[in-house]
Amino acid sequence: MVIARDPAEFAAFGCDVVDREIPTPDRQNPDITFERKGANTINITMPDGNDVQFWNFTDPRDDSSKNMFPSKPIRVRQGQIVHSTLDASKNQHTIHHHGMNSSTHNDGVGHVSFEVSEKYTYQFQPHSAGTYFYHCHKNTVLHFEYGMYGLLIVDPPAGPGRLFQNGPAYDVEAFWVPDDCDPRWHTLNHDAGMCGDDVGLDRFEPKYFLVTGVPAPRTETDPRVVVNARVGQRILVRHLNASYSIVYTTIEGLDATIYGVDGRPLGHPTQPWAKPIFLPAGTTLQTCAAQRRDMIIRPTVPGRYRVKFEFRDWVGRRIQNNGAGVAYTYINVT
Amino acid sequence: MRRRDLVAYGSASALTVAFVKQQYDQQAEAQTGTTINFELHMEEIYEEMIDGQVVYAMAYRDPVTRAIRPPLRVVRGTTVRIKLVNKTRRPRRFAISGYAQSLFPIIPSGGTATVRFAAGAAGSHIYHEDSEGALGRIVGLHGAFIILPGVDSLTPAGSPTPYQSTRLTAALRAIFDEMGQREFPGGKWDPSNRDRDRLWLMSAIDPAINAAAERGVAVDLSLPIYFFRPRYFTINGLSGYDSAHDEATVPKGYVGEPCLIRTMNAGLCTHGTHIHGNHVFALSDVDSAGRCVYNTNVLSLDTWMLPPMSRKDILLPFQRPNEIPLAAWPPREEPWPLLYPMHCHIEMSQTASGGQYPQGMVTHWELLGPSRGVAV
Repeated sequence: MVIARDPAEFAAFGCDVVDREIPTPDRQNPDITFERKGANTINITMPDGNDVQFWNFTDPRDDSSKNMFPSKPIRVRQGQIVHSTLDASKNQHTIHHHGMNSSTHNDGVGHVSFEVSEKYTYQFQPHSAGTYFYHCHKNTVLHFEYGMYGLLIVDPPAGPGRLFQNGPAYDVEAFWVPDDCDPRWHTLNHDAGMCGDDVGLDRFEPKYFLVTGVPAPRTETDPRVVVNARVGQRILVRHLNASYSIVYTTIEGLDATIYGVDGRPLGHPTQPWAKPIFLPAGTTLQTCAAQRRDMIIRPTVPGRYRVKFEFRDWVGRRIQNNGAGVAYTYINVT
Repeated sequence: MRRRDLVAYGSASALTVAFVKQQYDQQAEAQTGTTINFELHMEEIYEEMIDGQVVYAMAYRDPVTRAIRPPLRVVRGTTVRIKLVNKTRRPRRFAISGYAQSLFPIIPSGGTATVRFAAGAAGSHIYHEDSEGALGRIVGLHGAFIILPGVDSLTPAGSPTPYQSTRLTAALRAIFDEMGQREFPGGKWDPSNRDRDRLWLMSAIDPAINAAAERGVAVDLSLPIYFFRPRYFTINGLSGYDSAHDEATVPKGYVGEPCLIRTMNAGLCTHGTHIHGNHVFALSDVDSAGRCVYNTNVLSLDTWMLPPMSRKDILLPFQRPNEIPLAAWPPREEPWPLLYPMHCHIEMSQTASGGQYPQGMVTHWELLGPSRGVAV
């Protein structure tokens, strides 16, 4: 038996997604507001000299955000009612606040709600402190690769300094966001492939490898990636895999303990089913796209500790780009 | 919506067409200590993809219901007897993840064999073909083999679980006891309600590999010429719009009705399955020998990795989506049910034929209301 598809519903699922301007349903007074403007173009110069086009979200209140990649973080506190307003600016976009369990209209997925061509204010109230991110969920395969994402940090009610309420404290905060780039994809139109064209979005062949917006090998020296700390300080690393590779992250010479996974605490007294995960020095942490891991590192001996990120293919786990898909950075302890 | 399954008997080139419903709610269960009989025919078929392309494939078929790739559900301790009929043109060997290969003989083309074994510990497995490495599996010879725990599956506090009580870790006992409490108001997980036990079996299809198999080429997937480059991505054999509208695939329920979902990957890609609307609890995994492992650390996740041949049971709590502001709950100004996607975040899997986002590995779950019997 074959059930007939509804042609209009089928079209709205992908090719012809509803594009609607509506007020935020069940709107509450916000405790904090953000604005993000869609699809600013920036060029990142790769180690071989090629400029590759990326797209980011900008904050219209902050000119410096135009050059930020990943996009400027959104940082809020647990319990705040957040209004995050998207100005699509051109074409259609959405914001999915990844890990925020919002209502359908505030979840930013076009095919179950709508895409935004003008403005929409997403509403949510973070419930659990931890590491999240936001990204465009239109033609996600392409827009996410183009770079339309940024970190979303939820601090505990008292603010930064602890990962979650009564959770581990930290003195130094670091952001490691491995990403990979297939330059062919960065020449495609925003709605490439959506209505039936074969534009090769099944073939992802990354040539460049970045951490927190910095292409390797500049990751070894760039302060956006390199961590500096003193003996005895507690380093919180917020690790988001924003690539389409399986990333193998190895911290050489330093133990780490994972206290947060996908924005949920480990070792919280009311959640005895989830315990922190100890990673002895040299352990390889495997993550796939969108997974977050919050690690605390407390160095006891001065030194320069190497961190390795291997980007591996989703088929066969070969290191990408014929073995060249590796980035390094360092934790400098004085 | 069901993908069309076009059946070719005997020679794959002789395209005899039939439209058959692919039943993913197919099941048979028996109580501990009895024998349960299945019959599976290995067939060469053609399947229509989400974009209308027709691709050669193979499948196990239940000859009575005509369902392809039927999940086999048994109870722990049951003697399982499977009659296997090989209607394909090459020898085949049946396999079940976590079970010794010696249980299963090679069956010549046109041959029949019956295998018999005892269902072991409760958990989720994949049955598949393995005489040519992963080839038979990725062209479609696979399905879910599910072992239910029988009567002895309660925590000491009396909460039902999908595993026998002797295998329950402290973390598993704690999370099943937590259902109906504090942040999870409502009921316990209810194994008597089949709506609360779902299957998401992932796979991926490379038509070029399938075409080589149709030609009878001895495909060696380790050779670059046969490198697996999938073009279609499925959940329970369906893609995109179809998998998001399939009654057997889409979990539905009210707040307080937790649902077990058996997530498995029969394909060759690693997937990063991401769910919207609720975090899930990761209950089980597999070890390097393919046996079920019961998690001692139950993580709350919105994304979990599914390597090839992995099986991970997760519990979708059906709790209030906890970032909807408390003052806005339940939503009054947007339509119910609340719809949430589940999709692989390694987004190439969201395509079909190189584009057509999101006609790939995606489905939905539906939150019908704040509690059963309360109008919204």
